[in-house]
Amino acid sequence: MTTKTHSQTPSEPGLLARIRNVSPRRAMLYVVLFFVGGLFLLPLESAVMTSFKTVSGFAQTVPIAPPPPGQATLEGWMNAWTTLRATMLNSAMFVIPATLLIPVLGSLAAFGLTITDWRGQIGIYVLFIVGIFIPLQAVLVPLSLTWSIVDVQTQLATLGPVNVWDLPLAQEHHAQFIELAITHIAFGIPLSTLLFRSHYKDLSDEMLEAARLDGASMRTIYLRIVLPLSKPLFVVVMILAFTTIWNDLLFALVIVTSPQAEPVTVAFAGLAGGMVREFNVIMAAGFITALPTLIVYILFTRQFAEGFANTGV
Amino acid sequence: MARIQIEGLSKHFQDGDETVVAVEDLNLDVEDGEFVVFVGPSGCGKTTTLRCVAGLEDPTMGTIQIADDVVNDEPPEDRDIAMVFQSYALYPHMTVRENMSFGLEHSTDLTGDDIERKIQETAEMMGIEELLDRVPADLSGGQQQRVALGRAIVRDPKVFLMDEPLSNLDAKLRAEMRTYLQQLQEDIDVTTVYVTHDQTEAMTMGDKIAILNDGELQQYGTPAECYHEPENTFVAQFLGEPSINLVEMDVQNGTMSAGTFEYQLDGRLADAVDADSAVVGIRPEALTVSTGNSESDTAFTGTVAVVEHLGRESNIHIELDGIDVELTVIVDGRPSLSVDDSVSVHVPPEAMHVFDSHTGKVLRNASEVTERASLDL
Ligand SMILES: Nc1ncnc2c1ncn2[C@@H]1O[C@H](COP(=O)(O)OP(=O)(O)OP(=O)(O)O)[C@@H](O)[C@H]1O
Ligand SMILES: [Mg+2]
Repeated sequence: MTTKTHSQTPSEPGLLARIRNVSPRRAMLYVVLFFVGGLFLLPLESAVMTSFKTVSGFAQTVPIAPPPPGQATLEGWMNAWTTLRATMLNSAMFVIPATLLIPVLGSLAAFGLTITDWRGQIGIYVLFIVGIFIPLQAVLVPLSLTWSIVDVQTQLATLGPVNVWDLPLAQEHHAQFIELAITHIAFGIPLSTLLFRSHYKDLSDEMLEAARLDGASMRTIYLRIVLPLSKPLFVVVMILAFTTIWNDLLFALVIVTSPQAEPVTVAFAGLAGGMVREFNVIMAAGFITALPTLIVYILFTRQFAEGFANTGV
Repeated sequence: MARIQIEGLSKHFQDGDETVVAVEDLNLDVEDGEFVVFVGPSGCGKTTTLRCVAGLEDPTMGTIQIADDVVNDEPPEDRDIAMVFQSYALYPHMTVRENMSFGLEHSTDLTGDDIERKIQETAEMMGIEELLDRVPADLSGGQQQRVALGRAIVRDPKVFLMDEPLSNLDAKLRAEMRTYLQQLQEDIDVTTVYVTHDQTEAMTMGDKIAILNDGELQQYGTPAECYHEPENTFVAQFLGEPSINLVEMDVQNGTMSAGTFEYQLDGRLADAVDADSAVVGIRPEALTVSTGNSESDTAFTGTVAVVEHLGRESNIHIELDGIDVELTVIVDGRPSLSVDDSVSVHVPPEAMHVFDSHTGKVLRNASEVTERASLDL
């Protein structure tokens, strides 16, 4: 008992004293910080509020105000979900394969460009670097031309003994997911390779040589030494790939011709640019579209930070 | 069986426009089961030679044979060699056990049980059995060292290559590991090439030592041969602590002289020394110091500059009269000399190594193992 009061009595005035001791300069700093922070969060707050208002509720109040009584509704969220549900799945169909393949291919390419030794490595590597700096706008036309020449849908239909599109679950518009996935993988590989390469250059040469002397083939060295040592970087590259590809609108607009194959970003853009602007639906749809990337960030924050710390990117 | 023959080995590196000669025309035979130590100053090509034997470096010229097969075109993974790197080069993501089993899995047909048994055996020998489930980051430097050695030893290869494996240990641990490695090599009898720049390690561990300088082999022989019969001034200077005394002498009419020292060359040596100068090398332990002037011709006079008392013995540095040379003399016990004393240093003629003053090649080695010098007053 006595100890409790003891520990409390000095702490109470201590806290007060600390507040009193804050210099005016510091106090000003805090005020400014809170103000700026609030300013940044304001649009987000408005969006949340708007998504829960009815149309008339939105018209009657300022955006930052909470829904007035009787004007709160989940309708915006319901509508947005109904519109986007199918397109979310469409996005997943090419985002997930691309997210998985980009780090795998990048790491393999980086392995070949650093740990093995052959002529012309530098030339190839320069090509990869160039790939990072190509402005996407410049390739849109060639890209759509390419995919109209290489018609994946007909190619697959005539590929084997059976028509792929006759198989159960396969639908013809799925061909566009393949096109999207391949395009995103192609444009994701350069950066992925660059990141892996800088990581692999830091691996100890002597450790890799020790592995060779231990009788390990190149394949074994990759699978048993290099791959386990690049786990944190896999997480980083996968997160980067996932967010860029999920949020991509440009390639989707150019490549996707069938409305059934529309990814979520295209659908959302349609909503936001529609004739009748239901702001609660638009705001809710925005949140729904961003949700997967948010979840990915939250789940992998720690690995993400570790991965960056490890690679020194 | 696993004899290593190195013939005419050269390794040049291209550094921009310059060619760096790391190893030049090296010829060396390591017999089966022999323990050979490569010594030499930093940058003399020890590591490069080792890496050529391991296949991690392509020789510019020359051939390397292991067990009578030319291995130049064989990749490292096929050479059945275990190497201990100076940096340990452990696999950081694997436990000690996994580090040790990795090589066994990929270079032998052993089954899981046999591998585990071998690891246990080796770990006990190395005193690391308690560490088997830790990762390298959780080990001290000395422990990592022993794991690196264990990883090589467990393999039971044709050849061991060790690149300064004790360089990062403290003096006590190093002495322990030195003895331990020697015993181990005798027990398992695997051909071993061991690199060091520490001459004590070289002298105590090797069946033979190879002394390298600037990429060239200076001498190859037993430690005693290299110490007592050095082939040139570099070898003479490199082995022995404190280092051998080298004095440049004038040669005129069959007499060698420097300062107060004079020596009449006898028949065989007189023929050998045909220039007008020669370099004489005398080990510090072969010299005798006395106070006052000496009657003998083969003596220098000088003054004591520094006295280093080391306990069992003392090193005395003496500045000679008339020539700009400082001699080091080892005397037993506690010296009765002090700084600035005038002394004479007696040189037993049979303890003199005579070298050509231009090429540094030996003309005559000291003829007998000289007795320990004593201080007679
Ligand atoms: N990859 C390389 N490129 C260019 N020069 C090199 C390379 N490797 C070694 N050298 C040069 O070759 C020479 C011999 O190097 P090496 O590593 O064999 O020396 P060392 O005897 O092992 O020395 P230390 O005792 O310092 O380890 C040095 O001059 C070094 O600079
Ligand atoms: Mg070295």
